[in-house]
Amino acid sequence: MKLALALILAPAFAAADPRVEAALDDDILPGFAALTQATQALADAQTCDVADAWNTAAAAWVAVSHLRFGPSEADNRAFALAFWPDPRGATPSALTALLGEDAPPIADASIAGRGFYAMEFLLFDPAFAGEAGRCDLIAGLADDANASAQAIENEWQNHYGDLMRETGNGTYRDDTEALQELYKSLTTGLDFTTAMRLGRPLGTFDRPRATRAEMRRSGRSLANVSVSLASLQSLAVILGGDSLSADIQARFKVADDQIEAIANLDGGPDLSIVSTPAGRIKVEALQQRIAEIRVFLAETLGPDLGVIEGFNAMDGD
Amino acid sequence: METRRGFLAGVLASGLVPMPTWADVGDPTFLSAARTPDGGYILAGLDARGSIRFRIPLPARGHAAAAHPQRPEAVAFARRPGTFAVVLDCRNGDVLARLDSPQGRHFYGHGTYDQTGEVLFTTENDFEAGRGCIGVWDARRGYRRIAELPSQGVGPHDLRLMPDGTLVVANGGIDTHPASGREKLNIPDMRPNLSYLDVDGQVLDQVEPSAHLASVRHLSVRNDGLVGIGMQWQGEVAAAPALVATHRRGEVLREMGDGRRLDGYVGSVAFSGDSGRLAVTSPRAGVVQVFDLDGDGTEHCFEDKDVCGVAGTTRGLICTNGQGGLFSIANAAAHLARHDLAWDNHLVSLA
Repeated sequence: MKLALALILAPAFAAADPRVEAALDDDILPGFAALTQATQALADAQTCDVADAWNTAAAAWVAVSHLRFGPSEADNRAFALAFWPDPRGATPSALTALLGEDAPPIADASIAGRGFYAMEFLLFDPAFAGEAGRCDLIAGLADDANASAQAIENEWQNHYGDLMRETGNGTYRDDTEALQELYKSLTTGLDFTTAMRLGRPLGTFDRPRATRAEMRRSGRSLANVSVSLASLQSLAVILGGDSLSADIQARFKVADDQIEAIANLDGGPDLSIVSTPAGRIKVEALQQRIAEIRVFLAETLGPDLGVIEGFNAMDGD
Repeated sequence: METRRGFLAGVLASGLVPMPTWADVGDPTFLSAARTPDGGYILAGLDARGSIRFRIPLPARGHAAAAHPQRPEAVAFARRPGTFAVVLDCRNGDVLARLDSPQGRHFYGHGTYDQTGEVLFTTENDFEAGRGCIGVWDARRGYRRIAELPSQGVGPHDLRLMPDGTLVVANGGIDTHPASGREKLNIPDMRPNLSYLDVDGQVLDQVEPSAHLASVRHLSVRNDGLVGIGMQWQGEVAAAPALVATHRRGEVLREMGDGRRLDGYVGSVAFSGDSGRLAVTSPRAGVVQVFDLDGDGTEHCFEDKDVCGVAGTTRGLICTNGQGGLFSIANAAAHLARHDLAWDNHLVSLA
């Protein structure tokens, strides 16, 4: 009887696309679970000497930072976790304002003063080292980040994952749309790493901008590039399937090797190496390798998933 | 030499040397930038049948062009956040002038002349302050910058001349800074608006879309002063509201359509030449939506891959796409021409 019922019911549930299933189960959901866990550890710390816990949590964020749709975007959660780039230096001023208040409600504060980038200032910038209230604010920001991470994970677990699995809803009309959303996050992530994580410190040849590197105070700049590429590779391989995965892995490997070559040099981890012509060339080469991955995906994986990137559609202006 | 120069000046002043006009470049009806198969960029003049009347090279990919009302001159803006624009002689591609944005400003990619063609207005970003502004340039004297007005919002994109000589500006609300490229810095608290300005900068009217994540982006102005508006949604596509609107100064904003059908993104907007319809394009969704303004507001949808440029013609509308195609929309869509080019963003009507 049970079996018969199962057979009758089976056709009613169209099987989700295996690539979407794998992306959710092997990549996205574990990624957000790791973020919740890492921010929980950060929030649970009984001291404000939390550089290690912050490092783990910041890496967990970077690993999911390209998934800027659905639960991350609701209630500006991603912005509250990560306000960067910050070309006008809004974060230090927002922190100074928060430090001037007694037990400020963090969730209502300016997003520039919240999240991992704000915490990095408090933990690593000498300008904030002696500030009264620094420890309390670190704890407050950690709680706030944990609340955002938890909210994102809950929504993925309880709602959004199903929208992608069981398409034919208002968000994803079919599996192709869900695949295209994942593909878009992949290319957006590659573009962000090329243009922001590497492009900002590179500046121009005449004027490199080492102080614009992401999380340079903690020396995570190059590590963030590495973490983001690892995560993007994992998603690309899932989407690419058997036919493309070897090619995809080979291309990411070339970029990884270039990261290795930079990591061991003086000024590599915080990318301050861009200030010397010899160092700059190495970072430009890394940027180029990532751009090549992007082109490869646009020429192979994109069309595979029905994404043809139009001249105007891509301009976004 | 003194005499000769004096003589020439006298000739110019007396109008004995005929000023060049658009007739000198084949009387095109529209301008559009395009990418060539070898990766170069051009500005082309087109007629209503989709034939190319002239083509001149561009130094790089541009955004929109502004056409001088009388002389065959076009201003081509670099893509944002560009800091220069070139004024081109459409007869031969000569660069007549180069506009450099002042220190601390960059262009957003749109500009318009006043009715006389003596003054050019450009949308710009005062990026340290994160405030929009309008640059004012003297087109009679080598495009010298003569003034600057606040745009009354953040991230002004398109701006148009109203029939009464005032300006209407689409303040997209999105804060960017050249040090972070096109990265959007203020999505959680962006406040787009549509502003009407006198040429001395005085605010005549201002309206905001009902959803603050709807970035007011592109405009079209009908000769009776009705403004057509195309917006771009900064939230989830599945939650996109209406992204098309019309507005008349002093009245409320009339929003229409379903932004989800446009993938949350409007590329261009134009009134039909017979004035009764408003068309918007979405290259992301690959659709043109046409709204019947006089009747019951019915909307018609035409699918076309990477469609973006749209302009009014005497009988209806004309559209361009990234595959080089041009087609007209009267009651149905009809293929006009296809060139070995990728038409860029906007199709600019010559007055």
